[in-house]
Amino acid sequence: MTDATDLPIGEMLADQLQRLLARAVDAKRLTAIEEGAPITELWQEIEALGVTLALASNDIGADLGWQNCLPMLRTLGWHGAPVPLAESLLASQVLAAAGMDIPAGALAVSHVAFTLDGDNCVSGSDGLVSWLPHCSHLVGVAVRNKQKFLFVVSTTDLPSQPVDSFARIPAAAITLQAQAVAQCAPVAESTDLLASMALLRAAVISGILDRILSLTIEYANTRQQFGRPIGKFQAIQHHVAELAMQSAAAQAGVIFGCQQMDVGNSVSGAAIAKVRASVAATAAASAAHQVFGAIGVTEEHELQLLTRRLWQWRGEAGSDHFWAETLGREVIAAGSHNLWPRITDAQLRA
Amino acid sequence: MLSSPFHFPSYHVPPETEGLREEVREFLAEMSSHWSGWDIGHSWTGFNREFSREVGKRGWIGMAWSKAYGGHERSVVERYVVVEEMLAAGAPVGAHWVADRQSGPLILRHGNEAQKQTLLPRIARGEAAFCIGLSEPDSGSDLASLRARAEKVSDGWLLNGRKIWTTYARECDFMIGLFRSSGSPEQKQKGLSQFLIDLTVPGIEINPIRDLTGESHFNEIVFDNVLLPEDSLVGEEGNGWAQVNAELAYERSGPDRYLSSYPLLPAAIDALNENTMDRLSARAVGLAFTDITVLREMSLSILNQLGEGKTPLQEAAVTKLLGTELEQDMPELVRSLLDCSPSIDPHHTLSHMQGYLTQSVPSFSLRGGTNEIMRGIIARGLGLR
Ligand SMILES: Cc1cc2nc3c(=O)[nH]c(=O)nc-3n(C[C@H](O)[C@H](O)[C@H](O)COP(=O)(O)OP(=O)(O)OC[C@H]3O[C@@H](n4cnc5c(N)ncnc54)[C@H](O)[C@@H]3O)c2cc1C
Repeated sequence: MTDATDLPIGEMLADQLQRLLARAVDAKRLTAIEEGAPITELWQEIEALGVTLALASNDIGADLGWQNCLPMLRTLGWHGAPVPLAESLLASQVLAAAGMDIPAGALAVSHVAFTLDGDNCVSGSDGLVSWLPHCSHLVGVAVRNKQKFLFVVSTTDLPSQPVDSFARIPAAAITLQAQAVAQCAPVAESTDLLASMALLRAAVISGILDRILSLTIEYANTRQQFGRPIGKFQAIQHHVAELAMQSAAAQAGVIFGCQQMDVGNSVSGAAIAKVRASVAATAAASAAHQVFGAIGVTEEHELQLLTRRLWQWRGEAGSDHFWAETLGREVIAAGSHNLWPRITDAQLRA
Repeated sequence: MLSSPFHFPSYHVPPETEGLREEVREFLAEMSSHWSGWDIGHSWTGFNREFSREVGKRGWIGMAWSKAYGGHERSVVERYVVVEEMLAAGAPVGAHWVADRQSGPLILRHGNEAQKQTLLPRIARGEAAFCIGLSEPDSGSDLASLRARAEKVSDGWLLNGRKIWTTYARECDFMIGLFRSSGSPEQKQKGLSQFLIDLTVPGIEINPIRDLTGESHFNEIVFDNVLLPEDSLVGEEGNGWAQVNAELAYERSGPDRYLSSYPLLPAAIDALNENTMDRLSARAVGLAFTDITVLREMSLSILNQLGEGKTPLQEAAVTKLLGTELEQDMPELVRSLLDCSPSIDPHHTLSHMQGYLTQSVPSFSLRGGTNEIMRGIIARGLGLR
């Protein structure tokens, strides 16, 4: 294990989180959480590390920026993301930026557009809010007279229905009808929870891919058929290479997305990261399952805990198809002469 | 272990290079007026000495080399900016490409003083074109099995054997060739040496090979008792394999590994804007845009790592694979977006470009190491044996 004191701050946080998750989370625990076991204790330990406020500014949090949080998010993915840390990081960031209080407990985020009425009551619905049943509050954005407001509602008496998902993480559909908010405050037009969530999901996907690659290499080197490790077969080597390529591209995509987020180009950076990571998720899940054979599709094997999360997060917060279409429309509308400058634009890299 | 075997720390082109980028764009806007779609489709395999001389005049060849050897002592990033602008425009850089990317840096690193003094300034002026003599009729992917021999004789080196697929051998002035200077083909990597070969010396026969586009870029070369002066050896005798491999991270991660068919994309966007754009078309374009953006990030990250003295060979291998897949898919993307006719219309830029590229993309996953070989390299690098 690396000596944490030599590491840059982002790596150091990731290292602390890694130690905790390596100790506290295994396949059994993940499965228990999928089946509804409480995460309270684990969440308290994570809060005690002080990592949940890493993105928040305004004297409340560490204001580390997205690039510094990336190692932590990838670590979260590596361990199957057993807690809503990504959501809480984002929620505390936007709450702090709006000068609002950060409620205690894990926070859920909805990225759909709600409406806010004159009495500060929110309306709208979201068909899938991961982790909601384990969260104390939900954070979202609602619009009143074209002004965006950030709002917080308690989950205690929130009208919600449980929702099944690929990840089997406790999730809910919500329908708010003039729901009273715990807090709300106006926020900048640029506040975009969808883009931010997309980048968070992409970052977690990249961590899952690292883990799957490592498990797959290990399996290819140990599983024997025809008297030798299957990794000796070139066809298997090529699946592993495919997995490696996808994990490398996802990594580069999310690094780009975080860097873009830090310089204020949130939407295009997040879109690119989410598209690339989601495409990688699809290809990597196929390649990995092919290498693992039948054991990999059993419930008892940890691979499925990871691949189901890939299928979940490639689709959440805008799928690769959604974001590719968004980007494609922009790029096409901007015209051919703007394509290359858009790729190289120095302002993007302030 | 908790980590990725790959590292792609982000690196950004410094804003100070924007002036240079503008200069290159202006130059290309001027030069490109008479390029056909077919020409543009050639990308870095378009050979045009006049163009290369113009590029040389502007100080854009050998940019990072010492001024003592005709270079310009600019940064590798500045070179990258020039090179990516050229490729994005489909400029015919082929007459200086190999020398600027590979042969020049090789001579700079391993060459003797005389080679540096005489050749590098000529390369930088765009006046010395180089080709690469590696492949042989019986040695393709298994390059280390090569048989062409270099025998030490009293007044130099005597070359015998055949090279094949040598791009632009007839048009070029020099070859950097890999020959067996000792031992037998069974000894593989051992005993290989690199030579600087003036292609005008007696005993060299160059036979063009027509390719499926109807053009003859590559050649077969027969060496029949070709006598080279003693100082034609580049680097150390017997060290040829290591020298060739040291260049690979550069060769495999440059913009030429993902931009070779890039000009199709803006042309397709024009066509989409003239017709109707549907959701699936937008997705496909958005996906290609994403891939290019991410590959450029990977490529720049590797450039910077090389500058820091690291050897990101694995990163370069995955980047080449992802890049060649993208390049190779591009004509099919265009076909799916526009359902273009299989006619090749010289008066229609996109049709002409598509006509050339559809037929030449199969090469993209062969040249510079086939995709199968690259996948094997990656898998071995990851610990599979
Ligand atoms: C357009 C073009 C330009 C070129 N220019 C040059 C040049 O300038 N100079 C030069 O020296 N060479 C050049 N080459 C040659 C190029 O480097 C070779 O084509 C390449 O190394 C592959 O060799 P090969 O064609 O003999 O194919 P082979 O090695 O015979 O391969 C045929 C097929 O078998 C596969 N294969 C081979 N070995 C293995 C293995 N161990 N595992 C799995 N699959 C395997 C290959 O991947 C490929 O699919 C050029 C090639 C092209 C197409």
